[in-house]
Formats: sequence, C-alpha cells, structure tokens
Amino acid sequence: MRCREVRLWMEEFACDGVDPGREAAFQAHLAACPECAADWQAVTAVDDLLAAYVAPEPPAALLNSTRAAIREAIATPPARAGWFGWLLRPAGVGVGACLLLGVFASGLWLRDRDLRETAAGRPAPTIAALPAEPELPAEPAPVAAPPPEADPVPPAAAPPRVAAARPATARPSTTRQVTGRPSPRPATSRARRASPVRMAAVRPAYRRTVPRPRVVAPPPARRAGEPAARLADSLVVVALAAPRVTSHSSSAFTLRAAGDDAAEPALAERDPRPETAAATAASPREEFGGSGLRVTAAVVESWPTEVAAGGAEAAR
Amino acid sequence: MDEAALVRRAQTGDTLAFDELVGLYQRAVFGFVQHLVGSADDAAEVTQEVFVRAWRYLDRFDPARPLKPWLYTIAANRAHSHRRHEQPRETVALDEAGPEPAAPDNPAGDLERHELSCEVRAAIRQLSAQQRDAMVLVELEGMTAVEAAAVMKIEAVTVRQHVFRGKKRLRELLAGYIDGRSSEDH
Repeated sequence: MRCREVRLWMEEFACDGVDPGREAAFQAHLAACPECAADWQAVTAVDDLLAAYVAPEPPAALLNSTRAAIREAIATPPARAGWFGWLLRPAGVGVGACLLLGVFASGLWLRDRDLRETAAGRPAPTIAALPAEPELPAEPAPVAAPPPEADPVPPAAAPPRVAAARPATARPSTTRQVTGRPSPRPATSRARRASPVRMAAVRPAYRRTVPRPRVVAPPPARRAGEPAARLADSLVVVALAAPRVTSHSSSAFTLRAAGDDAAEPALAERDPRPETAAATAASPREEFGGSGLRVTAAVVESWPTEVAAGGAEAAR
Repeated sequence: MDEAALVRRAQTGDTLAFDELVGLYQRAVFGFVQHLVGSADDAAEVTQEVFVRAWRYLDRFDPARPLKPWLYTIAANRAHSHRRHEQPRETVALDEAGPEPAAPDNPAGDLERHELSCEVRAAIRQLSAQQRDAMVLVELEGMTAVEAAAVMKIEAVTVRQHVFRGKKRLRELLAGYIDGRSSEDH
C-alpha cells in the first residue's frame, strides 16, 4: 500500500472515523511507515483535545435581544430589496427606460449621421474621392471640381496605377471635405494623396462594422451619355456597400458591392421595391479595374433620394 | 413539537414558533459564529443578524430539510461579511465569552477545560478560513463532511482535506499545550 493512498484514507478517517473494514491494512501501513504514523498521531492528539472542548456560552441577554430584533424586523419591512426590487419600483422603471431610450437613440444617430449631413446640403464627400476619370467625348456636363489652378497635379505625381486615368485637373481630397478641417498639407501632396480612393471619406458608413480599409481602385470609365451625377451615385454605393467588405489587407481590399452576384439578393431583400429588383436584374455591371469592386448603376438609383441628391449636388 | 412543524408554523407568521427555534439553535449559532469572528460581542451581533435574516427569508426554506445547516449557511455568510467590513480588533479575545459555567463538584477540572477551550479557540483562529470553517463545522458542531460541504458550498472531499490539514496545523499550534499535558501525565 502506498503512502498516497493511505493519506487519502487519513483525510477520510480524520473526518468520519476509521473504517473498520480498512483498519487492519491501515494500521499495518502505519506500523511500517513512520511518516504516515506521525501524521496520524498528530490527528489523534488533536482529537483528544477537541473532545474536551466546551463551546462558549452566549451572553444571557442574547436570546431576548434576538427576539426583540425579530419583532422590530417584523414591524419595519426592509428598506430596499436589492437591485431587482429597486428596478421594479416606478422610479427605477423610468430610469431604466430612459437609459434604454438614450442608448437606442444614440445608436440611430451614429448610424444615420452621414445621411443626415448629406441631406442637409453639404457636399457629398464621396464625389471628390474619385480620381478623375478619362475625358469622354459624349459627356459635356460640367463636373463639380475646383478650378485647375486650385490643385494642379502633374500626371507624373500620381501613383502609376492611377496615372493613366488621371486628367490634368485633379479634384481635392475627400478627407478634407468630410472633416471640414483645412488641409495643412500643400496642394501637391494633397493631390498625390487623392489618387487612391481614401475610404476615410466614407468612414461613417462602415466604421462600426469593418476595420478602416483603403481602396486602391480607379473609377469606372464613364460611358457616353452618362451624366456626371452617376459618379457620385457610384461612390455612394461604395460608401453604403462598404459594410459588405469580405476581404481586405493593409494596403488594398476587395469590396463586394451592390452589383455583385452574392450581394444582389441581400440588396433586394433590404429594398424590396419592385423597381429596385427589376433594375438590379437588368442593369449592366462594371468592375473597378482590378479591384474586384463592382457597382451596378441601376441599384444606385434605388438608394434613398437624399443620397442621390447629395451626390448630384456635389457633382454639379 | 418537532422542528419541521415549528418551521411550518413560523412560515405562516407564528412568531412564538420562531422564538422556539431561536431558543433551540441560538447557542449553536453563537458558538459557530464566535469561531469565525473571534469576539463574543461581534458574535452576539452577528447571531442576532442571522436569526433576523432567517425570519425574513424563512418562506424560501424547505421545511422537509434540517434547519441547522441552513442557519449555519446564513451564519457563515454573515460572519464573513462582518469580518470584511469590521476593523480588526487589537485585543485577542480569549476570554470574552466569559468562563463556561463551572460544575460545583469539580472546579479544578472545569477550569482546566476552560483553559483548554480557550487555547483551542485561539489556535483555530489562526487557521485559514477554509480550514477553520471545516474544523468548526465537523469537529466542534458535529456535522458530517457532506453537511459541512453544503454549508461551505464546496465538495465533501475538499472538506475532508481541510479537516485533515487543519488538525495537523492545530497539532503544531498546540504543541506546547499537548506536550505539557503529556509530560504531566507521565
């Protein structure tokens, strides 16, 4: 028999007394093992002391004072019944309702802040986020852009990927328009930074759902006869579709926008109007070169009026 | 009248029945609490709280079960709460409970038992909280390991470990007293 097993026995016997069925084996081990015998001798020595122990007498007045305290408790109910009891009181219900309402309202406010800003007449930040598209002969409509001298950027200053699509006139950085802060950077630096579509411009639309990404993608080529406002709408789609990000990396990421096959059913569910579904099904799709970002123009037209109006306003 | 009947009557609001229960268990609860809080004054205060809370929550108690472990559970909670919120007293209260009533026919033997009890109480206070609770419930209050485990909200095997280790620790703490008695005997 091992000491470990005997030790378990001793723990049991110290509490419940020695088991007669195991006593012989137990005593045999104690006779052969001085260490276990010393442990057991300590236990039995304390047992002798505890057997002679006399519990203290309570004070004579304790019984009457306890009964008096019980009478007092009966006469005066408890002042409060803990948190749950407090919450069930009318004041607690009111405070709880106000807290819930405040949380809900602040969530709504954060969610729709960008839409409200657009509806208030501010220029849509996303329109300027687009790098300039190539000149199209069939598009005479004026595009909302600052004068060329306001932000002149030589084509060679832009990154190589966007340089081919960049005209001589560049648009101002979108980030500055969103934040409303004056840009401390020189115009050349700002134009260089404007070449990739900086998703900071549309951050309010997705920052609670995905990490901040950057899109390195040129805009879609404007088709002949397409109004300039279409670009604004397209980028609004980018903004609103940003929560649909399925993969991204530190420098670039892939969006699956409203025109994507996988995203279309979800969009139709979200906006079940018949014209949306029909337009979505019939519309052509364009892919932002190499980025995987595809946008369906027909879907853009089904977005809320204030979004489209804001984009058009910015485009003008 | 048995305990369950008293409990049922008390649950209907019979304060006299609850008074009987207080009389039955007051001494045991006080002794248990004093081991946990040390001072007799604190023990009396906590004992009073225990019975007030027991009266307040008596409707949640199942009369088919024994009342003593339930009272000890309340007492352990109140005693630990009391120890957390009270400032430690500087005096060592060995004799605060006063001497046990002396038997008129053997005053010397009773004095020795009183001295022994004071030594044991002082040694028990030096145990860890778990060992102290287990030792008091099992060795002094006569509970089984399973009953003590229900009060302490731990496993019975853990109670046994605490008792075994508590006894070994008590042997060390009371070594002088035990060895002195052994030499006197020889």
